[in-house]
Amino acid sequence: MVADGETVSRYILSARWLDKSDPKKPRLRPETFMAHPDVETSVFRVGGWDKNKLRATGVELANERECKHRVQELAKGRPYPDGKRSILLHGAALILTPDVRTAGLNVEPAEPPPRHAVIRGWPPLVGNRKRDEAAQLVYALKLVAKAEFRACSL
Amino acid sequence: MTTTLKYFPTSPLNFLPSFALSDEANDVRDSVAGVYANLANAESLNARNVREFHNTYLDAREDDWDGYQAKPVSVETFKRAKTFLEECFGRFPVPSSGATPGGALSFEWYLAPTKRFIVSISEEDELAYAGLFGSATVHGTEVFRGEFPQALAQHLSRLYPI
Repeated sequence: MVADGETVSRYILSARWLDKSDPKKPRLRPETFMAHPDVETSVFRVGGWDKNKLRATGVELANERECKHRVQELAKGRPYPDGKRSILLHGAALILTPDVRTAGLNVEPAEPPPRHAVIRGWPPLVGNRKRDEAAQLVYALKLVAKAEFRACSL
Repeated sequence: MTTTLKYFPTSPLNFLPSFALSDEANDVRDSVAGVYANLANAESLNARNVREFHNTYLDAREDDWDGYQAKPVSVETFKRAKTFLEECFGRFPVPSSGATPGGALSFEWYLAPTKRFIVSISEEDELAYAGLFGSATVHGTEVFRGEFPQALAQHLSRLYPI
């Protein structure tokens, strides 16, 4: 159980989760929190962390995902030069657990890694891609309405 | 109806410079200048969003584009989403573009954190949508075969009253 009052962070590893219509003030897009096609969203419990720890964990996650991505691409026989980098840290979407619960979802611990958690309680998948997506989008809208964007680039 | 996706202003519509000095000529010249200014503004407003749409597709057309194992956006999805975007022109403000982890392209109209509407388009005939209007929400699917769905127009008119 993740206590009420805790803050969780969804790390942003794609610029496509941000609307940069106003370059000085990027805005979170609802897709940031979507779990589809899965039924849980990966987050970290970041309560008590300073900005350096918040950034360091995000960088570590981005590096791990980049390694995984590289292995997958090479396994498919695609060229992946040494200097290439696909997964970058763009920031963090911070949200309080009470706001997640008010939206009708829940946050539960899911370690390892340390302080990792997942947002669960998404509508069950019915097998129709668009209906499943619509059902998740409405929850994602509620979450993103309460979330705060924190820039912490790689 | 054909809608312009990109507008490239050409040299004054092939009109030769006028040397007329009458009041009427000045009025015409001012009117034409106004038209050019409006066209330039329209271009700059739409072009950024169209460019963002293309860039979103380019960024999301491979597996795992979001670092969380997202599915890729297909060419067919891109074509259908482009048709949808063209249908938006002249009806509502041009939306911002994104992509979902399921491999769909998405369009969002945003007024405030709790006043927004999002549409997701994939290869299917159906599109998914969801909206937040203060404390009220809507979500569902609509058939899209090239014409802007009436139900979406009704939902969007809650953000942009006609």
